[in-house]
Amino acid sequence: MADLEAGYHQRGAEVVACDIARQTAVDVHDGEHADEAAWLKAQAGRNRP
Amino acid sequence: MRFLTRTFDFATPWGWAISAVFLVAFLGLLVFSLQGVGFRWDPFNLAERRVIRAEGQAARAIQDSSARRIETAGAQDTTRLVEAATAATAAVDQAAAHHTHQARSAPDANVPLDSARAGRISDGDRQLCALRPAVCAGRAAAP
Repeated sequence: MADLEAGYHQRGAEVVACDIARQTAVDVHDGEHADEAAWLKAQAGRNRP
Repeated sequence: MRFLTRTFDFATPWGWAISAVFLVAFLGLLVFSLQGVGFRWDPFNLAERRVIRAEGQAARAIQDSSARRIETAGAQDTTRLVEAATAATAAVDQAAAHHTHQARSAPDANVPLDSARAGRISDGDRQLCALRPAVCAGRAAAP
């Protein structure tokens, strides 16, 4: 019975950890795109006469 | 006087050369002096080209500094995100370890599970892990 409980907790922890990693990857990816957009906007502002 | 006539003697090539050098030096000195009173002589437009080149370099430097600033801020954000993820994962592992320890210490820890039930649970777990192996990569082992 203890093994079942231990396995349950272990599997739950693995699912949560995987989701944390997934969300981090998404956030970093979104951050990169936001940085590119900010730079392009700054360039467009400078090039405008 | 003899020195001058001998030095600038146009009958000899040496005299021509020295005369040419003095003439160029005199003209250069004349242009330099006149620049002091505002006269500008720039037949190849070198000054304007220098200005254009300097302006281009300044614009490129501004672009580069803007990019570096955004890059640095982005790197700091990424570091913060990774640190937060690491802390959250550690908290998850700690919670799982705590509850696993409690389960193994409970009075009913050694109560056997029905073999058919255990088999169903194992099969279900195996199927889920086959669909997403990364989730079942075998994280911190339970005590």
